[in-house]
Amino acid sequence: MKYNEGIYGGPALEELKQLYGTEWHRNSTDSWYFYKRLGIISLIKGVPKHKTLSTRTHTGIGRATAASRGAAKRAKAASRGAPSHLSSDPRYEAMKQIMFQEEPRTTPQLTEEDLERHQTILRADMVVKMKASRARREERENKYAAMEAAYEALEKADERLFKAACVRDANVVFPRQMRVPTETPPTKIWDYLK
Amino acid sequence: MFGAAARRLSTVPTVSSVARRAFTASAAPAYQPRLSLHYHNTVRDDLTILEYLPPKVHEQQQAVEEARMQAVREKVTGTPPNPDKKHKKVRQRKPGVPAARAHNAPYVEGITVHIRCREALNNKHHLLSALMALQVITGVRGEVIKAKNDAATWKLRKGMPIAAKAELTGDQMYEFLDKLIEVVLPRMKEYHGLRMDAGDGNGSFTLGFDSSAIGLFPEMEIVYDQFPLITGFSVNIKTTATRNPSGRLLLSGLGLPFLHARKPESESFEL
Repeated sequence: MKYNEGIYGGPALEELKQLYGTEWHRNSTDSWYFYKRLGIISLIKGVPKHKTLSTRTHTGIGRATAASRGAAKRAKAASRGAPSHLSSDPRYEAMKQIMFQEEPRTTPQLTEEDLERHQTILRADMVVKMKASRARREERENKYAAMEAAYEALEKADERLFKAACVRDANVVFPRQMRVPTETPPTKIWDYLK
Repeated sequence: MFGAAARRLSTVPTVSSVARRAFTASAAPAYQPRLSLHYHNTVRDDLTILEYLPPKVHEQQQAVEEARMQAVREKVTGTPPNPDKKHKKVRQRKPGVPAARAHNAPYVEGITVHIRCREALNNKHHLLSALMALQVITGVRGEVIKAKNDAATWKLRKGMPIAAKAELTGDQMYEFLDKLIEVVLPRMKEYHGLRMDAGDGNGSFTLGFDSSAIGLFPEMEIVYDQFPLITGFSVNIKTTATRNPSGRLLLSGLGLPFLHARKPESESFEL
């Protein structure tokens, strides 16, 4: 963290460490850092961090706070008179700092033994993935061979039905009911009205 | 003797305690995005089966298609061609469709999220909003796009930064697509699905969104007030499908909704 303001830096750093510690193997995005840093920046600048998350009646339309309205007004007033590149919303300063002035994260330095363990685990993971991929490939090849055999049998059995089976409709899609599996079932198991 | 034993003992590597390890060695399965898992477990095999055609039949159909395209190209129009009108672009011949084999089912190759920022013409800082928005919704640092041509009507000069894009592949791509399908599209007003004529004919699908949609991303909801400029964005999904129907089939398998056509099943064949 770049900021030296101790009391504001303290709790956020801990939160960040916790986040980093538990989720480093996940796809941690810069958006979390932005969010956490903005909390601090907002505290420093006296601008409210975010509104309480209530049910959104107007999707996508944010309600401007007094401070941000004031900032926008100042920016607009300045842009009318002064050249536009000089009048900058204070929020842009924060964005510039976040995007261009923070140091990139460094990868953790492992000892020799830990590095070997890490590589062994990666290798084992690769082997597992390869085996799973080969099993799926074999299954797919069997299914393809079954289709080939079925079409050959159909061609011998009935020419008319074979021709019907070769017609491809352009508007075929998977049904919407075929949902992508989740770890827990949805709150609405079946939509009877669709 | 003791010296030798002591030396041997000192070279035995010490096992680090679990608390001090820099990694986890538990048997939990490695993280894979939900859509990626679903594609590899279910959709890929289904596409292989659904797109199967005997090779002879496939060749016949390709020949028919080629003949039809040739007839369209050589069609005699009512008026003679105007020599003054130079047609800069000649319609490119689409590559032929390869036969469906066990291993060439279409898959999603990449996604490009693009934000065109016309406000950046007046105030260069507005492009920061676009870049930050891309970073927030995709998790990837955006890239600034500079104008390639001049456009006097919009006071655009060649080389001016005017847009931002983020290219996604792999896990990040699947996660973005998942967010789009599960969170953003259902929350949009009066959106029921992609049209049945969606697609560019070569396996690319583009969805355009206006500024009301960007606030529907969960990450964007949190920091919405910190953006001076809220823009729309466009999502280009690149697939390895060679034609629209197979691309649509692939995307519907991943969960993208489609509006069903009202046309009858098949006009060319009736049982």
